[in-house]
Amino acid sequence: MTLLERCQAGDAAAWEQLFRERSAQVYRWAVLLGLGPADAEDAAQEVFAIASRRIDTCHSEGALGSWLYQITRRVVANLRRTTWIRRVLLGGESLQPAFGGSESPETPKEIAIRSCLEKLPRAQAEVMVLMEIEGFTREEVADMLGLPPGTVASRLRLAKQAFRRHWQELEEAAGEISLSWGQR
Amino acid sequence: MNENRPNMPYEEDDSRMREILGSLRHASPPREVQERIVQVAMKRVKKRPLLAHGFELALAASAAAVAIGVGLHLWGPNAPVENPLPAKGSLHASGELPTSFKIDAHEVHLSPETEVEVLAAEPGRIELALSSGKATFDVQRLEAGEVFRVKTEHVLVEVVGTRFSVQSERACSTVTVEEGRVRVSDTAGAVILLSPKQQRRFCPGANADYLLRQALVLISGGGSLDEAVKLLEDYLHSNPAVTLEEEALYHLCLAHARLGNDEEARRLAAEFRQKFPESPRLDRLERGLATLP
Repeated sequence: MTLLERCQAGDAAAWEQLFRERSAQVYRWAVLLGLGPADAEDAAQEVFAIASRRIDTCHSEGALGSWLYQITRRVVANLRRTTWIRRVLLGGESLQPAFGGSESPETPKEIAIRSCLEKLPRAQAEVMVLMEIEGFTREEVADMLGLPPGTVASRLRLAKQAFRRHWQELEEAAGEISLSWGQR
Repeated sequence: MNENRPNMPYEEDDSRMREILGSLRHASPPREVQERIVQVAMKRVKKRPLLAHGFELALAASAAAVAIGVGLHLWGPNAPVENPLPAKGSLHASGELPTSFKIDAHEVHLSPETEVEVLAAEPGRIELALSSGKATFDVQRLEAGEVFRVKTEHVLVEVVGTRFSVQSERACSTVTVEEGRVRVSDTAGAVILLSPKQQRRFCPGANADYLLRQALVLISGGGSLDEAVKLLEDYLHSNPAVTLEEEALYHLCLAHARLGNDEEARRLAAEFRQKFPESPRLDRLERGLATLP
């Protein structure tokens, strides 16, 4: 039996395996779609709760990632909506490290990438995350988001232009060699 | 812009971007966070009753049977096919070309590079979020209790049966009414009714302060005065009680004077005098305006 079939049969060990295999990915998606670490943790838990209720709607093991992503983006959108007032009235809070902790040498780069993604229109950022970070193909992303491949390509192009601009602004503001676009 | 840098070919630049973004490809939460996610998720799975799956199926089947029965009873076999309501959470986006879609009997026209998300779509209740760009809404007459709302980062627009457009920009949203009336609530809770041919910009406090800062940067840095005037006007129209009205009005008045808009400068000076008679800026303002012909 596949992992999916075992989960559908209610096998607790299979569920634990699925959660362990996918928790980092779901959490990462939530962060890259614009949530802070605490909200991303809540979102990941909510995604798995929904997945456990609706696992029968996932039709193949191969589609599991895409299916979990669909749930994640809805949960993230709902969470962002509920924090709408907080974000608008209190202004944007500074980004907290979500992956390595504040002492990690990779944290400045993580924060820089997330702050640039944050400035993109959400739909563009989403395409960029799926293709450039998660490594999905254009056709896979089109399928996941229910969009024509041409729209995906167009969003990616706009996202890259904007991301490049924001990255350069950061680079100029920080003067950090570690953030330099042209460094090799 | 990066594309114009002579020593950085586009392809090379692109691969560098991939490398930067790809550094997060395997990013994971701290171990304890990952463990908490798994533990909480496991608790929720265990809480699920053993019969839940079968029960849900049975409930869904009964509900479907009731719905089909009611549907046949109400509409009969020859009932016209309604435009299906879009799913909650679905996203409608235009690329480089404008596009349109229907929700129930209403029409939504998206300008290029516009995105609208469906927050709620059920008979009698449509709620949309305009995240960027401009959308025009052609809303059929609503019955009592029916709701058609459009939300942006800056305003909530409620329809009273009408044709209107909403444009969301970085700091402000603009609502324009063509027919009917709409009720607009800003983030401070202020509510106004807009009538046909009326247009209003809404720039909430935190964002409005950004407008003023940008205007002052332009003025002090010798930038475009026309642009500064536009920003200052947006700031002053953003909210009846903007916190830095004195400063904004002062600079707006002087900017008009420097642009040669003497009449407008004098009008604004009179407004300034009336609103801030004790202001230490009043003397400087009048000296500045004394040089006008």
